[in-house]
Amino acid sequence: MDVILITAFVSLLLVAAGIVLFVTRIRGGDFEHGDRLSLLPLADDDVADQDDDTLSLPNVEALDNTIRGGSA
Amino acid sequence: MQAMEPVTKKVVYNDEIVRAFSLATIIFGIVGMLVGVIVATQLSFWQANLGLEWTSFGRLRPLHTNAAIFAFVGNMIFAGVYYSTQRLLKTRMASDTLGWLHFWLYQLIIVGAAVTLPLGLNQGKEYAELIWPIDLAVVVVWVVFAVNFFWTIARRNERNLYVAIWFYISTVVTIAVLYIVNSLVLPTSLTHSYPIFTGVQDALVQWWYGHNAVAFFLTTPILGIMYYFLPKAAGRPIYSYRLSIVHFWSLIFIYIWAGPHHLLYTALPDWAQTLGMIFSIMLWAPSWGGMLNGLLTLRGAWDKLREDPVIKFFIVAITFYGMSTFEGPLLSIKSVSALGHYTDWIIGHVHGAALGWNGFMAFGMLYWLVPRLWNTELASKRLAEVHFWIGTLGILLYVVAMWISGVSQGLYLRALDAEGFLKYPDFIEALAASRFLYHMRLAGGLAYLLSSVLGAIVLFATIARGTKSTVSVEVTSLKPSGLSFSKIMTGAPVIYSAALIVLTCIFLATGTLGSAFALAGFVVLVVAAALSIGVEKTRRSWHDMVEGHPLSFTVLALLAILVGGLVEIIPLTMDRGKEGDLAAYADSVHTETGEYVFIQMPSTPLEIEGRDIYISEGCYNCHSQMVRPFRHETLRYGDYSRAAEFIYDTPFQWGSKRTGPDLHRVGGRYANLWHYLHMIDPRSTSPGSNMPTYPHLKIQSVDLEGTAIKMEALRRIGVPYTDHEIAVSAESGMSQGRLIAADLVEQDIELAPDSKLAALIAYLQRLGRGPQPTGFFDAEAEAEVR
Repeated sequence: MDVILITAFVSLLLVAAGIVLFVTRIRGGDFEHGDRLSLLPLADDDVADQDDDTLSLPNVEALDNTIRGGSA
Repeated sequence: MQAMEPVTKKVVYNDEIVRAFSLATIIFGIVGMLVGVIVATQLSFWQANLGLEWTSFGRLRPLHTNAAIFAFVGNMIFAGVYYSTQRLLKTRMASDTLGWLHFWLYQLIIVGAAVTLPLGLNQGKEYAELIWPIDLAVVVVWVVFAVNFFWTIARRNERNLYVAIWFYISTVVTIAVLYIVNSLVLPTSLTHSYPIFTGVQDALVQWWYGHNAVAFFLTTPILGIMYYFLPKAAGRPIYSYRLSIVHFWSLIFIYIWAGPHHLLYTALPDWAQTLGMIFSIMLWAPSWGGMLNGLLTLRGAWDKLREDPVIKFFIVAITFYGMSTFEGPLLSIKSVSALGHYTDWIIGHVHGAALGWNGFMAFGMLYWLVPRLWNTELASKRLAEVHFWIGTLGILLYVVAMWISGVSQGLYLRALDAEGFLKYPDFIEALAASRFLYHMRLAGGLAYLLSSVLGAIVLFATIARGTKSTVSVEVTSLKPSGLSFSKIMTGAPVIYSAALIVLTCIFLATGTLGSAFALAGFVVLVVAAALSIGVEKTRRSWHDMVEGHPLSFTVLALLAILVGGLVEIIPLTMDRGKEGDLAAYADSVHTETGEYVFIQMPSTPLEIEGRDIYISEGCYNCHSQMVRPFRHETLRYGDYSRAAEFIYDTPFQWGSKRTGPDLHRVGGRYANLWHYLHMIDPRSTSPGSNMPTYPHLKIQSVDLEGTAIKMEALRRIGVPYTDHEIAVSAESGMSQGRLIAADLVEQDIELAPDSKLAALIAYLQRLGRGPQPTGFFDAEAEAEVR
């Protein structure tokens, strides 16, 4: 019986810790910067260029600022 | 934080190195799969061993695994990493010279493996078979790669590191740690060495390495490649960047603990087995998080699956990743492992992952990459489609055959009759039942090989019609600024994680008082975290800062992967130290009746040589030396294996697959004549066996003069040989060989006392019962005993 109580207590504690940490990180804005970074793979050379034809990459920083509504 | 001044600059990518690694991937992929088909043929038809020492299953199987893992997937990883790293960091690789050094040295290592493994030069540890000079070369090449990689990161024009780069970083640091620790050996010659770990410790270190070679060589870099190439192929960003953060950190932290699930019900301490099992089950969550993140990236673009072969390969690869990462935790549950371990189920599991996840990711990437690297269109989408379907059919044939074979083997070998005795006492019955399934596996492997040849034709045709492209881009440089190592390392997530780990260790390792303290600590931690909500007011979040500071990121990744390994390995090492030395430890072991006995004795010189032949011929590929504590195993093989019995075994030879029976108690079970006949013609003693013949062992001899050097090395590891025993090793070895030869002469068989076969028989006869008489009268040793 003691084992069940301890297991239940520790489990609930871990769940509570998980929720608190998750909320903390969300409030801290830990996951918002990804909106810009997730576009990185799409922002490089999709079509290989011949010789010296230089390709201009889209400015993902500008896109990020638009998304986040501020300057870097 | 300082404001950043965006600077525009021109960058020319180094794609020549990507082309080189891509070509090597195609070539070595075919080679690795071809050797795989050859060994599958040998399992179906023993005649395919050709009766030659260089082409026997035991020597070719390590060649197959090394070629598939390190040559095929390794080259694919480097192609993907070099291509995506440059683009994600918006800079050229830091050094072309280091890149080419990396490429050519790596190919040289592959050639070295292809030469040495068929020659029987083998360290006897799965996926770590290469001899120590090649191991050294691997370390050098990895350092070259790491320097170039981190140097490129330092020169980047992008502020943050994208998720693919995180996976590459974890690969670079973890493989370095794993490979170096598992390759710590004492060389006795240019081609021979002994691991510094013995017995249970060696087993734990090997599977900590072996499992995490799967994790950090066959998984994390491929996930990085998925996170880069799948969005490109799908034309949309990864489904959830937030999920990828959780995926990455939880995966690398949990993965490293799971190694002991390869050793369930063995002589490994139970606490380590349980840790391995629990963390393996936990691993399911991050693995499926990653799989779903990949699959859901196609949300709204599933129509591409119909027409784009690249997407087809990627999606099926990710599906196989999900399937394998479900099957792995399932097989790690002790009761499931009891059935599946040592059977073909494991072979089916690893091939589902290797052919499905790794192979299809490789071809998906190549189909996307090659047309771009050679500035043309794919030569034939239709043939690529045919490749896809034949390949998929091949994988399914393979894994289904092995699942059925594995489960039936497990059931056959554990079946007891109404009286509680073995229902199928002859091991060969289980093998005979799998015969058709072995043919089916061969058909599946052949289909996969043929599909890959088709893929290679498509890719080479694409290369032939294209021209090499040089890509130059104008990038806006975003230099990181205002970040400090100390600020990141004292961030809330680090503090909370460290506190959580410490409290968990206290909770698990201490008594009631310590556990109560740990529980109180947990409560304080939760309350502190709750109170801190909303306190953080910085513009950049903590993880955003970590992604912009590669040193912090690398240190944190290193710490995350070190925890599991240290917790599992250190206690076992300390156990050895506490006992003083190995001999004292063996002396303290007692039987179930309470009587103290000296369970383990060092091998005689001839047995040492015989053991090296056992390793060289790759016997461990088909035979285990670990009787698990089950009634059906003890009835079949003898008393279950105990940890103390292996304290002088280096490298350990517990094995991971039983195509033949366990050998830990084979000593004394059969006469020398039986072993002789069995090695010359296995079918003469075991009708239906698929074991290769070993006629060369009769005509080749061992170098007993060199055994003293091996004994010296073993003594340095802890095996208690005396100076005198080492000095007379050659005479002692020859004497024991004469006893075996004399026994065979009585049966009208002539065998040289110093032949490899005599040495192997000597080794097999000691298994499970200690060293056998050498017939060598040693007055000095006698005096020592008195």
